[in-house]
Amino acid sequence: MRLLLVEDTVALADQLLPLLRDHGYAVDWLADGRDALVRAHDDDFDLVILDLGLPGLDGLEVLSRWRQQGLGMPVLILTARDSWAERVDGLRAGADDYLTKPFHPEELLLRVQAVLRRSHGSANQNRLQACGLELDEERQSAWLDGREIELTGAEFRMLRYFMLNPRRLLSKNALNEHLYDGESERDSNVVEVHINRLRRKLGGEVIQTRRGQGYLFTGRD
Amino acid sequence: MRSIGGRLGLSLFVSLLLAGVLVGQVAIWWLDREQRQITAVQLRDEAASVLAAMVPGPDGLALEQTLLDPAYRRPLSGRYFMVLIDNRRWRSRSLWDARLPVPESDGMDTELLAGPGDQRLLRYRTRFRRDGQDLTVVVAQDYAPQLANFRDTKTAALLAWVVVLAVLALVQQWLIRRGLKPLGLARTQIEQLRGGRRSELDENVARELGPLVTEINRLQRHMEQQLNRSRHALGDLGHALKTPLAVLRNRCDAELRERSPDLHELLLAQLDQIEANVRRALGRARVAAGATAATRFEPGQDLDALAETLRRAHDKPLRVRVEGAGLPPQPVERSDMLELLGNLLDNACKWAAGEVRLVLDLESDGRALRVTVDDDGPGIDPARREQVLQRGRRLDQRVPGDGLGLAIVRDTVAAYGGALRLTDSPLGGLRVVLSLPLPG
Repeated sequence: MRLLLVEDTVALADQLLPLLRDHGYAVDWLADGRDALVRAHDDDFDLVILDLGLPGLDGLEVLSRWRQQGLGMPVLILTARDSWAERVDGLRAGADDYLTKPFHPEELLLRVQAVLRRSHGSANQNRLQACGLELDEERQSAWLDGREIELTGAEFRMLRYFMLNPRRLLSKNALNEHLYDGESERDSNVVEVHINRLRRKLGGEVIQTRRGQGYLFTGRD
Repeated sequence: MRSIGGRLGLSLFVSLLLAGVLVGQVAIWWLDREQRQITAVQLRDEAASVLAAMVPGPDGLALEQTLLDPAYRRPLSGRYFMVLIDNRRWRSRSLWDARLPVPESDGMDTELLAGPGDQRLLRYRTRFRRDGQDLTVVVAQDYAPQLANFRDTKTAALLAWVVVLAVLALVQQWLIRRGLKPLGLARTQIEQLRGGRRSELDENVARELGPLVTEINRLQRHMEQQLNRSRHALGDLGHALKTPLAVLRNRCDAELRERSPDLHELLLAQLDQIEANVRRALGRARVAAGATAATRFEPGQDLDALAETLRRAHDKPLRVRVEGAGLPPQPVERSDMLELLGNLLDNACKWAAGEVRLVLDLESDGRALRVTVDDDGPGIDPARREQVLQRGRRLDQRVPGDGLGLAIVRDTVAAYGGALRLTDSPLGGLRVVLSLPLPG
């Protein structure tokens, strides 16, 4: 999952970046509203965490321009503005959720998780479920036939992305795009390596290869 | 409070009445003078005719009755004369038994003399010399009919004047009312302004009202700007404080929880306190307690969005039903109203098992906006309801929250002069009813 964090307080960003990365998200960070406005077009982000009091351009303005320009990625507003009128305005500008500072880090993770699932049409349960598989995002492990299967960070990230996009053809490029932030080295071989490891742990039929097109997560169905 | 129209009408009536009476009095006085002068001329002629009736007889001059005007022979006819030659005197028969004193000087006598009956006599004395004899002729005429005439004229004129004034007063009242119409219009607009149905007064008014209206508009804009400025300043302050608080809290959680649980606990408690104080201060300062056309609450616009916000904020299957989106815009400030509803619903959602209901309506007399929030949660024991409303008080720690929601609601309701009540809900939990009096 590729996230964009737009937050101008360096100290907070310094805390949030490792937190989110530890939980398997690829995160890019921007501190200026004008940069965010442009950057969202360059990469295909799965979710944006947006502060409102931004230098350059106010977060609410950034959000409504994104929506006007046809960008539909989920946006979670993270702000100190805590009045209900501002929440309603945020939602109306096109936000998917609204979290006010100060907040508990776990709360932020839960909201991110919930918004991601909702935007992919999954119900919000304790574990992410898709095609007969379950994923525990807290423990970063998969459940298959009542059995827990431990995953590495990279495997977890990849499986989560597959499970949020079940039965959808995903190109190697798209996987790269969504699993690594803008600063990571991208190597198409790495994707293949992780897919093969997942097949070994979960069964070969879980992820199908479409030659020249990409991969398809079909799970146990 | 006395009306401008009434005061103007009364003063105009009194001043015109006084002026009219004065002018009338002067006119009558002048008429009286003229009349007396005319009478004097007549009396001089009469004296000449009386002289003509003195004819030489055997004993000198004697009065020849037949040559006199018949009026002098009719008793008390109102026309009299007397002729004196030395010690002899002739009186007109019309004098009958009345006396006619001789004036002290020649010409018209200035005083009116009480005559026979109710007559008022004007006397005229003149001297002649005839056949070597000095004659003094006094003629008199009753002036009472003229006086009566003047009196009647005066009464009639006064009556006519009062009638004219009454008509004038009516016309004036009508003119005043018409003239003050712009004032009435401005008053209506100010009421609308206060009720939030108008953003500023129409400046296209009578020239006399222009400065007033412009000034009111300027004040209104100034107030709005001031409010906006202070709200923004507060928002900035809030932002400036909360982000560092978030950083501190996260750092504290991440690094102190294991290493120094006591310190962790202490810091978190202090942070909670700072945060609660900041929130409450901001919440209270944000209350506008009044709305303009631009900032009033429009149920149709915001209610559904608010319900959706709450559904997303509470990560559990909840039915949040909202009634009252059909109400017209209300003269309550939008962010105040959303703060009230948001906090009440937020509380209800925290405790509800599965259902929350908000009903927004007007009280039966239409002078207050009523908000009713129901939930199907555990409710609050009647004996402890008063405590809940107190500052930062939380009865139960099971659900996350800082107990500030209801305190902010209470502050806002107080700023609007409204009332807040907690009762049992038909859904099984708590029912919060608040009513906000509407201006105008």
